[in-house]
Amino acid sequence: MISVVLDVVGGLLLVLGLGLMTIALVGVLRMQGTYSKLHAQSLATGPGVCFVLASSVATENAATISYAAVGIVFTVLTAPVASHAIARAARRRGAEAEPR
Amino acid sequence: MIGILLRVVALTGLYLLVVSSTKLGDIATGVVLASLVVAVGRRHRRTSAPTPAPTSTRATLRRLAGVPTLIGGTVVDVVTGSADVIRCCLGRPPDPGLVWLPTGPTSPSSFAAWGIRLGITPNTVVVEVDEERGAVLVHVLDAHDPETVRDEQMASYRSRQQRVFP
Repeated sequence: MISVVLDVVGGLLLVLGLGLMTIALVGVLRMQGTYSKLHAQSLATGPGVCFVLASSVATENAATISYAAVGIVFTVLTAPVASHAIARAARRRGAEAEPR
Repeated sequence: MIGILLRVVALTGLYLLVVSSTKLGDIATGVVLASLVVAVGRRHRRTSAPTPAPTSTRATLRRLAGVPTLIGGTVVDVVTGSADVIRCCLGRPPDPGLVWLPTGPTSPSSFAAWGIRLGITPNTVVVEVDEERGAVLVHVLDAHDPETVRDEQMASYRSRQQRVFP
């Protein structure tokens, strides 16, 4: 029974994660400007990746799930830094308007 | 002392997650490695930054009590921020722009925590950090009213983070 529940939860998390990544891809293609594209990209590198990694619960393998947990922790800590580095570089190259 | 212990426990936990083991030997190795990292980190901080004022055990416990609010509040911010970004990805961003968020955190660790919180929320992108002015430049998808953005972010900082990272 628990195995079925974990399969369903894992499947839902995977679909949710892939859905967010697809929407992020659409956003990166549609949005104008570096900063706006970064918003869309952070949807994929933040919640999107975390949901996909969390779907590892369906494997019922402790090692896989613990690796995914470590992956989530490091994604949460490093994705904002990468995003900030790109945004800072864009500002130094003179991207977009003055602050309000 | 509690802070040091927590760091050692957290790093040991991370080590055990990476090796996917709870064997006694691995736990011992984790504790030794974590203690070394914490000791080196403390020595590095002592030489590179002014020593922070010592905090009492009660103050540390009070800060720790705010951690669930910090994590829960950040998750709420991520969910609402993701919803905003999804709307903009599939529709049209209302009025994107850069906004300075003044005041707020005062210590480097608090700045780092604020930066990560703002960065992990998809509807804000941290562009510049000015520690001297105590301000962060962020890009938001709806900047037509900068004062509202500032008020929202400051309210979020006060309610979620200030207790843990003042």
